[in-house]
Amino acid sequence: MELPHELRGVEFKSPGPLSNNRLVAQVVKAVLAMANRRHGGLVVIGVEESGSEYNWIGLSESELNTWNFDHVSDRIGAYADPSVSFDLEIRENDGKKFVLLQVEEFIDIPVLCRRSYDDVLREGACYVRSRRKPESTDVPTQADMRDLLELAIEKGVRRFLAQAHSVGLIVPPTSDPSSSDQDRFDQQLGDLK
Amino acid sequence: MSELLNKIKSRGYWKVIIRPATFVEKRVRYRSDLLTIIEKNSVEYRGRCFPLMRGYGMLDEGPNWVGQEIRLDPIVKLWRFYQSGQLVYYSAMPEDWNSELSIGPQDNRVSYRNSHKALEISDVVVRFAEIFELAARLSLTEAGDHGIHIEIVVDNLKDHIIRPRAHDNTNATWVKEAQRLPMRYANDFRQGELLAQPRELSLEPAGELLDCFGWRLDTDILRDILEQSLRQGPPVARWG
Repeated sequence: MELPHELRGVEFKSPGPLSNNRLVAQVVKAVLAMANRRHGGLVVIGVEESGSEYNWIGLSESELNTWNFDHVSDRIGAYADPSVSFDLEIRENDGKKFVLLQVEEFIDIPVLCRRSYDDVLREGACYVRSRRKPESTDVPTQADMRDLLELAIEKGVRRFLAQAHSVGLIVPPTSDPSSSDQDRFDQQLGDLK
Repeated sequence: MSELLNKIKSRGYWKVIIRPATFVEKRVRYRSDLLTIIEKNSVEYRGRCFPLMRGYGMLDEGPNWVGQEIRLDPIVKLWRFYQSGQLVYYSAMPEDWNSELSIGPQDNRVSYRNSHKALEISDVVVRFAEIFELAARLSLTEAGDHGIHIEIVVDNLKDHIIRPRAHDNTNATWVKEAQRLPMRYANDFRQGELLAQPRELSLEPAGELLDCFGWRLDTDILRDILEQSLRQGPPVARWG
């Protein structure tokens, strides 16, 4: 189960109880960033960062009991606008237990931060997983912003098309592509045909 | 190239072609844009990336294409993406190139051990969904067109079985062998139709492949399996 380092789609967070507000704010930031990523991502709670290494120490039973889905959902919901879809799972590895939050990508529009918390969360911020390194951060570059906008536009187009399809505005193809097109595509493939 | 292709075709494999309806040699004007398009639109369901796998094999390029060849058993695959918008993808079945993935002595519930390679229904269904999702995404790019052609071939699975899940206590009668192969699927879609419901469209060929193994599952069941599999999400769900 152990990964040597974080990935763009996987972020680690230290162990602790849900009553630890600072930890929750850090988890929320990671969740919001994952929700703004194509395919979403995973937040693993119970992994402590020590310099460049990660210690998979897990959560104690008392800490683990606080990570109840409904309570976590309430805590995340207080910061996410619009709301975020996620699943919570407890995983055991080498006798240690971890909380996994499997975050789904946003449905319609990017998720923004609804309110601030200390220096961790900023009201109105749009957190993403940076292209430069696997971290959750305010949109750092124009390329990251463009990725996010493109994803939102694509979702809008596809939503419209799904609606158009459901009311019969999109009809199936009536004719096959010409054989000359097919021949040229086949020719291009050579041995790979 | 032919050596790798021969290796892939020597055992069970997938072949996928996604292409626009009409041939335009330089549909993607600059070759340098091909990699960006494929990278941004690769599909990552359940932790695997399709078709581009960064870090698994050198990227390659020709006069009018970019591609990748991966020879890291059990991951053996190649793909090419042309300026015409055509994508060709070949992938060996990982089960064929890693003996640990076949049904082994630890699995005493089935009598096929050591002689049959096992695929899971959910993996098959997700694979088709990945193909259709990629086609939908590519159709929206410079490589896309008003119509998209999808072709899928699955072959050389004579000694394979398909079973519901790898680790459940399934009765051996639920494990089915290939009855007729290869499975060949080809269809043309309007861009809007494909974009509107790629997952739904993927269920038909997924059902066809399962049918080749004697699994006759109706669309509602396939849809449930797909949704459930996608909810399991990426890497960690599969590490444990």
